[in-house]
Amino acid sequence: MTRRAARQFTTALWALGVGGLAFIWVFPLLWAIATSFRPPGSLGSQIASLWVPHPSLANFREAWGSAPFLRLYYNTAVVVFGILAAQLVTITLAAYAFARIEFPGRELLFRLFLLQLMVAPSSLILPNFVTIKTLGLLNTRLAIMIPYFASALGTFLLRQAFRGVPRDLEDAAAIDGCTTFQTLRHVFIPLARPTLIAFSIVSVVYHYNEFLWPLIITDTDRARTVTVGLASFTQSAEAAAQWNLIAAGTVIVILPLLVLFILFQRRFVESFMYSGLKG
Amino acid sequence: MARRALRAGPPIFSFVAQTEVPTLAAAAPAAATSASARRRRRMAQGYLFLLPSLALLATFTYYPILTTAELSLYRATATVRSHAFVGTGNYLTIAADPIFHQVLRNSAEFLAGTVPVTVALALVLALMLNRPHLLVTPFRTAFFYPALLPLIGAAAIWLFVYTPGYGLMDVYLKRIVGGGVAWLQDPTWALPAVMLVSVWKNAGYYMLFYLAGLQTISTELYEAARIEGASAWQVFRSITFPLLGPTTLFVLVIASINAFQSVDQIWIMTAGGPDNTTNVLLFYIYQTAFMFFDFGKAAALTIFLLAVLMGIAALSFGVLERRIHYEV
Amino acid sequence: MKRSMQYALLLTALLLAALSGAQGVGAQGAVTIRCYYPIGVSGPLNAVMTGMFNEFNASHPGIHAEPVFAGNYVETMAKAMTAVLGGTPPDLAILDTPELYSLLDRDAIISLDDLVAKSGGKAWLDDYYGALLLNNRSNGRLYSIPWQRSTPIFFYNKDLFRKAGLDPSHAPKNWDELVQDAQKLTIRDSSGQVTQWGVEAPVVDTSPWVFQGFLIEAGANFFDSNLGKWVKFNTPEAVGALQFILDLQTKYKVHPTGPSSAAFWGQVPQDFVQQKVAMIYTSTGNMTFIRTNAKFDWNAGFMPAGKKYGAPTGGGSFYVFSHTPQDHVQAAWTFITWMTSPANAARWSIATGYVPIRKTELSTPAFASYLQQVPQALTATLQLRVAGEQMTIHDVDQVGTMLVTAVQAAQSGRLTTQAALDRAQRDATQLLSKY
Repeated sequence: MTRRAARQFTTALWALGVGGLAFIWVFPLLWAIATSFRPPGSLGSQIASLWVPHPSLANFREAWGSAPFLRLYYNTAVVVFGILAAQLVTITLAAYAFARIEFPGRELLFRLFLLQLMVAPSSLILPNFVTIKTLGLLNTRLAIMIPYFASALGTFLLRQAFRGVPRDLEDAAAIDGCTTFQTLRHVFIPLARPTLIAFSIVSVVYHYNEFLWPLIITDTDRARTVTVGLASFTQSAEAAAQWNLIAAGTVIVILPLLVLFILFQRRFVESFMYSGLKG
Repeated sequence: MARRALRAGPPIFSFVAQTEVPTLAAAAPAAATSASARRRRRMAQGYLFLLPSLALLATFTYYPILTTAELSLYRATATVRSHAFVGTGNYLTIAADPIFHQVLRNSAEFLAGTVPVTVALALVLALMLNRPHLLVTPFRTAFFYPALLPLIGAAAIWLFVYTPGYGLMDVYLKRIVGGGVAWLQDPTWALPAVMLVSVWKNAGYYMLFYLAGLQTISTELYEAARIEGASAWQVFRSITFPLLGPTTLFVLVIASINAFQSVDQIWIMTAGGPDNTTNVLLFYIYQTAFMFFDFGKAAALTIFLLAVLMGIAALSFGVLERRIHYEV
Repeated sequence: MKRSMQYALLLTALLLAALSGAQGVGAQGAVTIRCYYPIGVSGPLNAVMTGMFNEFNASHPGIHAEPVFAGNYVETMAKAMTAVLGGTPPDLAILDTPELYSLLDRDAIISLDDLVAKSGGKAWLDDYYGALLLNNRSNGRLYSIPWQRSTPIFFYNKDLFRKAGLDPSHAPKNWDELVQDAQKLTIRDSSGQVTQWGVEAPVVDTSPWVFQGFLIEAGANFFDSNLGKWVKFNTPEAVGALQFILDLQTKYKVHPTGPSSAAFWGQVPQDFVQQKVAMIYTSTGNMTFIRTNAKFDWNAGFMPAGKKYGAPTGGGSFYVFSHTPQDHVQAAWTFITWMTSPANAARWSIATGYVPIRKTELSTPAFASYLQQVPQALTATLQLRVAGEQMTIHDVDQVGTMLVTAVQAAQSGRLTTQAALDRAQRDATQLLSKY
């Protein structure tokens, strides 16, 4: 076998192996998509099959009509990107301080940051409700966002990326007369781009899917997010689960996020191609 | 790449540069005090950079933790108006609570059963998908998408997967190994079934951190290893894995915390049952606070969980951080 | 350095200002009341609910009623409780009816007796089904008005009855008949695998709802219906009820084995429409699902009787919150009486499958034509005459969970029926001792 053929063979093996696992992983989603096209009243014995003999949009029509989804999408976009924008500022500053600046109490403060990861979100609801009420922010999108403007997760992740930045690059920037901000912008942030993108994906996904806090802190659709809309027709605890309707609702909610992820993915892969292939 | 950025980057914060440059110039004559002054200014900068985060954390994290700690010392069940100070009463109650003991065992089992598997799987996936290929993006999406799913949808899908008779697990698995198990109703299988969902949901999520970590490893090291004729395993043992140390630390901490905090799928799939066999700490806290409205006991449980997680974090730092190489 | 910091802070501040839009205010000059509501059955009910609010507001210029969707029952209660403790209670809310003492213990709700007296008193109230008012009272005072109420009933597949040689017009009337019919309806293949079960009863899900029906049928007097201070879970009657369920599973082998659960609750109606089971117990709230998905002849009947007929009621009622101004209380009451007027209540029953809450609701034109389409809907209403009270006590969710785990422990064989119910009784008594 030539080396070229051998390489092609390993690639094929790779595609087969990883592809097989990927198929298992994606099967529940494929099933949900198939089921979302199953017309109401046809939850027959072939329900586990991916084949839908008479696809219908009825579930999507019912799901879409159950909540003002355009408005909820808009609110969700404002909330997730608002949180992300604020987080990127706060975590960059904090991560740089933890990674590169010597000051008394640094380790202690870092451990203190990590508390945010560990405290159970449900135990924050009541005290934060009172704080938000005191601030006069009840029923606003800002109320949904503000508790998340600081992120221990982002700080933790970015601190590690920043600690991996070679000292000589930083020193070179200082010799070139760069201010701290310029060094951050031109040295640290570009080198930490994969980390920043990974964190951005995680942050957007987490806040996109948050449910209980937005539900409790807001009353009207003017401020609420898509998960609240989804809950309005899928939480049929008293009745049988309508798989096809729930599936349609899930597809409606997940679709923008999936597109967004694939777009981010491209950036992610590009940043890899750049640093990985050219060093 | 960074050097290119430096060259390409004209100082865009021009007014910043203007303020900075005179400061530096003015500092030059006073060389005697400059070193300590610069150090002090640098320290001030450190605190200043932390200020926005700290102010937010103080308001929305530390203050609630303190109120929770205070509440845990009160009997706050029957009526809000008659909060009675009970000291360690709530802690003694949970120490003697047989359900709490079962919850602890379940949580430990959940932790031991999900964290190593998920993290190892995440690392393998990242290594497999850290290459340029047309299929990489679809594959990564396939593994990551469970993290995108809203809980209500994901849990409903898995409820279906596990339904005996016509769920995916039964229909397809039966052909291979035989079925007939009511996964979520069987005291033996319910917790493993919930754990599997956790692995499915999180492996792609942690993979993302490993992928990000892999980008920071210089390709020169691999070049050198290749020239010396190192095997793939040797490269992994002596380059990739050690240099992924910070990421592994991070992922382990996050995964352990998540293992304790996975409450959502439990809520929809089993509600902690049957007979509390899938009841884990955070679910128990949620149940105690928002279903039973025993806020004092819920607060005590929260503080306990916080202490456990802090212990785990301290342990991981103690063990791992010393062995980690940061400088590349 | 300093100025660059200011620049960053300014940027953040601008961002915040841009993001936080000012919120509008309600209708001018009108009393605005907020009503939290849960959605417990599937369907586009959010739209139906919002439509009713809009209609009310259009016909009542002095009042603006604001619909606030609040998740399922647990989440709605969590939202209401957070708002109460945070000092901004809603004016009214639809909550799971047995939460009565949870709300009362926190001084969160008001008694409705005075308002009822002004609206026509006993004569007005008597139009509501008595069974639905049983657990809306404590110590003789009324605290809530029924709204979306349900009850478990018995569904059976008439086609499968015919195939098994049973009379499809004759549903099992008591436990003995249930066992006999179920034995004929349980079908095994040559290898002994069950291909069709006789009966499925989701006795416990997140609450011990259907099980309460069995307790009532067994003649168990299992809780303090007046003050909600005690339970009796381990009486011979209660143990007998649990033993009967275990017998269906392990002695007669006509019911799938293993503990009942929330997942099983959702599975049962599916199994029924897929003809994997011939007879089921489930909520009236599932009638619409069964009607649209069943491709066979089916009927509904009473839950078969033990010593007597019996079924608990379920579902949500309107509660009015305390610490709200008098004009808000009045407006909330106007809203409740409008919503539960026969025509509006009938609209909601038809859209959701919940049982009619008032006797006059049945004679509205809309409901009369609905009954012609779905004659089975009347069964639930008739069963209300023999219904018992749903367990409504202090710490009802926690005590309920104790009973749920006890039933599951017995069903999984981890404890005997007596030991399991003794455990629940001991834990519940200890918990309730503080009241």
